[in-house]
Amino acid sequence: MRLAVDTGALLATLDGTSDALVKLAERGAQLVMTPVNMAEVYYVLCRRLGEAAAIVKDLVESDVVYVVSPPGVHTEAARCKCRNSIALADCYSISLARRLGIKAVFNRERELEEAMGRDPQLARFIVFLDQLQH
Amino acid sequence: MESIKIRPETKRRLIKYRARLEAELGRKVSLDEAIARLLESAESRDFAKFLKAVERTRSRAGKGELVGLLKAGRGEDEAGG
Repeated sequence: MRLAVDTGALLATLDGTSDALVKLAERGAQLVMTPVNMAEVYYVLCRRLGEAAAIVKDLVESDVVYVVSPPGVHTEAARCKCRNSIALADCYSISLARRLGIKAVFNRERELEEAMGRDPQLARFIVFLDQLQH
Repeated sequence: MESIKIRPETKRRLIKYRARLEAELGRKVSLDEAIARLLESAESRDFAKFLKAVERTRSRAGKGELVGLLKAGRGEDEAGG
């Protein structure tokens, strides 16, 4: 199983809000994310812990988390942001999922749910942490 | 080169995996390369290392704290420019 992981979903895993990704990773799931989303993870860890490099390095070197930037993802993220009032980084996760033909995992957020209600196409690629079967 | 017989279902999954790799890399990928990457990924995967990074972070950040910081950071993104 392969999932595009949004920033909020990985941070919710790292701060103990959710265990869903840990359980899926234990069963072999691959977690992919764009450099934009990983940059957000990096700065949040840096702000809270004072450093982030060692944790990010371990996440990536574990080969459980893959940072990928497929061709076309930037343009697609920009188009997503053009159509929807959601964070650009959320658009990167959705665009990564679209390009790889997989689902994007998000921590549940109201703005995203509202956008999904307006655009059913968006909803096709999104799953929330609390919906994942582990 | 030695030929290997595989079940049609395995072949279907391999071709699907190759298509994902091609989308990710933005170039053609041979079945040989796809298999080599699968093996490499299986051999190098270190779940314990991933778990250690998660536990190390949880010991230093409270539940919901990092998600809260992300929301604050995205607020700054909106305020900027």
